[in-house]
Amino acid sequence: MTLTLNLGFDRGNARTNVATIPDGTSAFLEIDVSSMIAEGNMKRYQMIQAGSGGTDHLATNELTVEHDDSVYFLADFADQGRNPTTGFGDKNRYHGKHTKIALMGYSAMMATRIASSTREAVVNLVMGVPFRAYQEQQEKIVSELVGRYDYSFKGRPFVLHIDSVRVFMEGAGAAIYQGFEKDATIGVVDSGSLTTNLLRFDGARAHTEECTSFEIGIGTARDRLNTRFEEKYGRELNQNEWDQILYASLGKVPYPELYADGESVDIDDLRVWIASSIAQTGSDKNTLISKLWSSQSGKTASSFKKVLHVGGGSYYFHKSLQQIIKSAERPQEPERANSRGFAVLANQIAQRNKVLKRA
Amino acid sequence: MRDYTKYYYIEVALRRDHPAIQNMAAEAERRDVPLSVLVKQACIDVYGEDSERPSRSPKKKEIEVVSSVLEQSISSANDFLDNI
Repeated sequence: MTLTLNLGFDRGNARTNVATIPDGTSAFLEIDVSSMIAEGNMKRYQMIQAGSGGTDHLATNELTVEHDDSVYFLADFADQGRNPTTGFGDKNRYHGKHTKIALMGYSAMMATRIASSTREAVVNLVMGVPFRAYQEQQEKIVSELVGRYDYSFKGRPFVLHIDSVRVFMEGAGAAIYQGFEKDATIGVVDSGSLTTNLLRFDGARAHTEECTSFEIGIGTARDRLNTRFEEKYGRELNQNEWDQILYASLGKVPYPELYADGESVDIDDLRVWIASSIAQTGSDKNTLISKLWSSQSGKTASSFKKVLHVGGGSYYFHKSLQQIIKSAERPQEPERANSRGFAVLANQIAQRNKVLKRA
Repeated sequence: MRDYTKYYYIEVALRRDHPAIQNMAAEAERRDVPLSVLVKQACIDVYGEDSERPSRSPKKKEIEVVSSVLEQSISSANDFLDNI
């Protein structure tokens, strides 16, 4: 049985969000995972599969893709592989192997969640990229991603046909999901781990002269924190430690107990340093936002009816954004707004294409 | 409470060079308790008593059905397509 999926795909540098609206429903089916992908160790992978190592079998939510004689461990399971990467900073990340593996894995995951016996899917993809990548790489992304993929997902063979790819600016999905204002201007600030995207829409039309993206994000704050940590404690933070410190800064989890050369790290250092790293990075972002959207009066985005603050970085930078745009709003689950909007867009594009084919 | 000690055993088996695991192993030896006891306590400390399996976002499920599609989103999508 072949399933058709109209997918909204937001491939962030830290997290990947995928959404679809299964046929016959009016609800989103969503994936929200770490963007990490690692090379799997084939021998160890097979040992675990066969159970001969005396360890547990792979859990049902440990995600693997086997493609072109290589094994990849996805999302949190990437911790168990070699060279885990999110493709952070790779200019070709939107059409390279990392994105293809993610699409193979998460398309199969969606399809089998909808119909467990499915082994083949057709995908119509709508994805967002930073504004600069949208201007420079749209055609390359489409030509690289469209095609047929034969692979195994969690040990079972799967065939994926990516029939169509439409590329839009990150932030556009969020604007669609939250809704445009027919006769008014809205702004979107999409705060990510590597990039910040700024979009202006007059009604539903993008005002491209006031759209841009720049490379300041949560990753910038991480680098600042890492520098201070290394200066005092003589080593870098790893990805796990950084994630825990970041979540702790929101009060979601306790600060982690860390060690350097056997000595325990002062938690107050972590608390103070993360706060100042985020504040400094927020200030850098504000400088560039003001530069694009300020009026002669010196106020920022004052003629906009609203400014939406979306993306995972909005949890950390919203207070600082409100210092220059008092009316900035952060919707519920801001990290999912883009993929949801792109899923809705994918559905509408598919419906329009059906009408055209009938005509 | 879900038993995720087994999961961490896999992590320990595969990543004995991980500093957190080495530190924990040394602490376990010093206190003369099994490593699994410290691993389990660390899980509870970080992820809470009722957490799902350990992950970077302990409260998020990887795949789930969520809220209904908003009518305004559909209308906005059509407006967007009409303007490109």
